Amino acid sequence: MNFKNRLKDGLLTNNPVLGQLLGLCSTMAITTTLFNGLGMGLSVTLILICSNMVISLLRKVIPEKIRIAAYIVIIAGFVTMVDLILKAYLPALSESLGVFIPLIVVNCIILGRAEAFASKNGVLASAVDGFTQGIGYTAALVVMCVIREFLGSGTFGKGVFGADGIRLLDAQYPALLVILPVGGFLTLGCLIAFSQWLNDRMKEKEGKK
Amino acid sequence: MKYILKLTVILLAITVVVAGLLGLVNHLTAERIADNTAKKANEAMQTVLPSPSYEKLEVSKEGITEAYQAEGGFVVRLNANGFGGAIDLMVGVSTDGTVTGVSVISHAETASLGAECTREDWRSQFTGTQGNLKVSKDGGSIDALTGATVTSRAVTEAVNRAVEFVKEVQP
Amino acid sequence: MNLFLSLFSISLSAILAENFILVKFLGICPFMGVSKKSDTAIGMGVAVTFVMGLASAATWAVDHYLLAPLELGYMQTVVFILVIAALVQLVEMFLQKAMPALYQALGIYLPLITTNCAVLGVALLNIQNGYSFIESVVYGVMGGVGFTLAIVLFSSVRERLEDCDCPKCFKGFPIALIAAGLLALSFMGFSGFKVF
Repeated sequence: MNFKNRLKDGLLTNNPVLGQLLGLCSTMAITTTLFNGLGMGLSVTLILICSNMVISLLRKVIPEKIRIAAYIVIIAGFVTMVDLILKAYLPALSESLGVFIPLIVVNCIILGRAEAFASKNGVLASAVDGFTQGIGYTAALVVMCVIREFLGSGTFGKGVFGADGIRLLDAQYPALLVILPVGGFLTLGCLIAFSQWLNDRMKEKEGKK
Repeated sequence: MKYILKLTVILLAITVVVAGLLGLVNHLTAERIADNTAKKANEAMQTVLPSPSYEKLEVSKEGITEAYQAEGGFVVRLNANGFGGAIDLMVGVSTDGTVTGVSVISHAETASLGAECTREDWRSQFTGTQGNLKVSKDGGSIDALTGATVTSRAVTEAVNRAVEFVKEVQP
Repeated sequence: MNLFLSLFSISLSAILAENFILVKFLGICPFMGVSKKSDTAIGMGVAVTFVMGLASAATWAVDHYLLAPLELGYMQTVVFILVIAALVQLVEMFLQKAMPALYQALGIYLPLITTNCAVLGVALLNIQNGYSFIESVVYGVMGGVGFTLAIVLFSSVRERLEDCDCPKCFKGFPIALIAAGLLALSFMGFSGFKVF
């Protein structure tokens, strides 16, 4: 499979969040502003690339029986490094994501890719897989963030473009509900429904050809 | 038996390497992280009560986290009992018992509701008051944040406590 | 008396106002994965509650007697996840030997718990909130009870969703998420609800 197909796979057809339904906790919990979503997505992408590469390198050394434990230690190591680096250089992001950074360890996407891909493929292929899946995750987060931030606080890019972002709706209109936990479930539900609809349509079109 | 030993050794080796690398990263970042925390606290103190230096006081009163003697007053750090948990606040109080500023260090309030308590224009209404405050809903002078009366009450109550505390420690 | 009150307040907020699933978004994967039938949901809930209580106790002890004195706070995540994984393994082996009947009932859920963010989450939150040993254990167990409450409630909703008539693209997972959203909405009524 070439790179372009893989990217499409990660972004659309086999998106970790919308297609494989992995890593939902963080997807719903932190997607209230674009700043959070981008930060979380890129951190996960970085960790995913690194852990995929290392696990792929060690795939012949790690015995079958202890592989899950070994993967968890490697992943936890990378997560802690990212956690420390964020604390040192991006304290604002580290504060707003809070406990969800250490919780990347149990984000099923990373362990899932280690088990399903990195443990069976070469280093370069695994790095590419980490990148495409990570980008797919980031894209899903960003879409969630933009929708929720627009409907919930009426702004765009809070934290990315200045402290208050760009105001699109007057402060009296936004539906706060969307930013609260409820909104996370509702937005994600609609988004997955939309992606299912899109996939069905694509299949129909291909069928007609 | 030999197989189990092999498993243990491999897992141990991985753990040791990871721990070593983490120690290295921690060593490289520790100073900066400590700096960031100290800088944040210092900036908050500067905004609530500007002073060239702050001297930490011994505090034994329940509900007060830290207190500093500054030039012309005190900076009190305390927790308000907010909607989503503790709100970590810094309150500056001058020697005559007037509030000079309120700053929110960290909080877990709902976004766009209670979280608005960090807004400057809301916090500034405490400046210049003498404690004993109430939110407008309870017949006081502090305008509560829209839809976040619990947070507003909590912060107001904490500011009152800070003023009381300063009155007590004043020699 | 004071201790009792604070424990009561922690329990209440862990079960209702700060429900792990519906408010804190911890443990969504098993919540969506094993909530198709009420009896499996109860099994999962009990297993999670058990492990959360144990994990709270173990990680608190490890943090206070090992990590804090050695100033290895930054190793928290790595050590905690290892402790949890080992704990789950031990519980599994113990149940298999001592209580085969319970093992049969809970067995399949146990491996899944290692990667449940509610368990690692409760361990990290205990330390962050500065809880004492008893408070940690109570928070862990009650968080688990809250998890069970949410998952059992949700599974009975979901059983009925199976037969409901909804747009084709919403079938299955999306409509379940929407239902979970409505459940979260009802739990919002508890927030800000405190006993002091």
